[in-house]
Amino acid sequence: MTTEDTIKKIIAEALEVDVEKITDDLAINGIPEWNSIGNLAIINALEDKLDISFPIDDLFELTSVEGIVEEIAKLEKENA
Amino acid sequence: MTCQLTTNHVKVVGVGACAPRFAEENMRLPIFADPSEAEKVVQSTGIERRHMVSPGTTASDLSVKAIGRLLEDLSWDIRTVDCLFYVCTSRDYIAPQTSCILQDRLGMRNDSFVMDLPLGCSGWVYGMSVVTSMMQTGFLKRGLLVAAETNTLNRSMKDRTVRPLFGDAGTVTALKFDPSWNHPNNFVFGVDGSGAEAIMAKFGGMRHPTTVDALQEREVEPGVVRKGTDMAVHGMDVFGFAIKRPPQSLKELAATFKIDMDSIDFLYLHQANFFIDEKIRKAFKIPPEKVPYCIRDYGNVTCASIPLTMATQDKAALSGRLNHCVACGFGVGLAWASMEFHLDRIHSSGVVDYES
Repeated sequence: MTTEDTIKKIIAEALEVDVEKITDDLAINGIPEWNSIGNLAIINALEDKLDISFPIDDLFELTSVEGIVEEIAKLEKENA
Repeated sequence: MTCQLTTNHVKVVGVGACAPRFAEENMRLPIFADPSEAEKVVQSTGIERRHMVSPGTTASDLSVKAIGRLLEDLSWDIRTVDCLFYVCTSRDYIAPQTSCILQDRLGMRNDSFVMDLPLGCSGWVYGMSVVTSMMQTGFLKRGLLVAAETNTLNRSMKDRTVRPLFGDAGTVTALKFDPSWNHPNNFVFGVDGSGAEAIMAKFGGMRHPTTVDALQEREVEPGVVRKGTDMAVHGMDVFGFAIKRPPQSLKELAATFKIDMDSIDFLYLHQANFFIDEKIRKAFKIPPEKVPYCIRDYGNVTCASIPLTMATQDKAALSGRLNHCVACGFGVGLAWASMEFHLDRIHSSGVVDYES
């Protein structure tokens, strides 16, 4: 199972910010780098690095650290 | 309940386009803090460059060139064209409508039907519904659907949320009434005006006229400087719309008209973002070769994106065989529409350069 720390690291790399900035309660527009384009960069990076594909119906849930962690846990459970 | 339409006996015979020669490379834009930010935007949107007019060149100027080339290729005398529909929001004047100007510039007959349709990204599909409806009774035998836009003229060059996305192009789709053509054009439509502000140029109309204040540049946030008359795009609102409505609309079209999406030859999606379009493609399990793109080299050209894709991609397939096609346009309004249609050995004039 992918850890929360791994997810935060991928988000930080996608946004090109220090991982310390990716707090548990961070969401889109919480920092300048996480705008709509940044959000697409995060989704791209997570799909690429974790070899997963988010269903289109779930994409709008992927706008916060919490939502992303939950979605990945759900996908991994479905694929287990 | 589905808002649907079927039109008959009107077929597309050709498509052509015109784009400014000058192209701006996204990787070299000065509005980005550094090359890595530019790279991130290119990777997230799929847009590497966009063609741009110079101020003073209008969408109708691009259209005249595209129309001229296509009519020449089809050996159509402009005086045999009975109707012209001009899909565009960056029109020449508030009044009169640009299609009247085009009637004169092109040399169309006085006894012809022309109309502006000021729609955005859904405009080509809506335009097809209007032109085929008007022509299907056979009184209007030849028609032109023009879809053109000079997006870059009302987007701020100092707004990093819109400058890398939009480009300019003029396109024309030629149609003819043919009583023996038995492939119907099937449509479904949708609109949600509560999302109007997601993509909006607030000042310059009658609700908020252009004032001196509206022409002042303001910094909305770092890297986003624009005037009240500039188009503002609220990224997340548009993102939420783009991942929800187009797939729903395509599912509605397929269910309403019993379309086997596996059997189609081409799916033409409005091209605002490569990543989102790819998500839609994968959701319908359509192979990549059936979903052509021109977004990498032209950006989001709003209503012109679907016909520009036809004019630039898969020329051999479009000119050599019967193609079962589906298209979906979605954007400003918010409005969306999907259609099923066939393209049978159509002529493509490609893209004419415009030196402005």
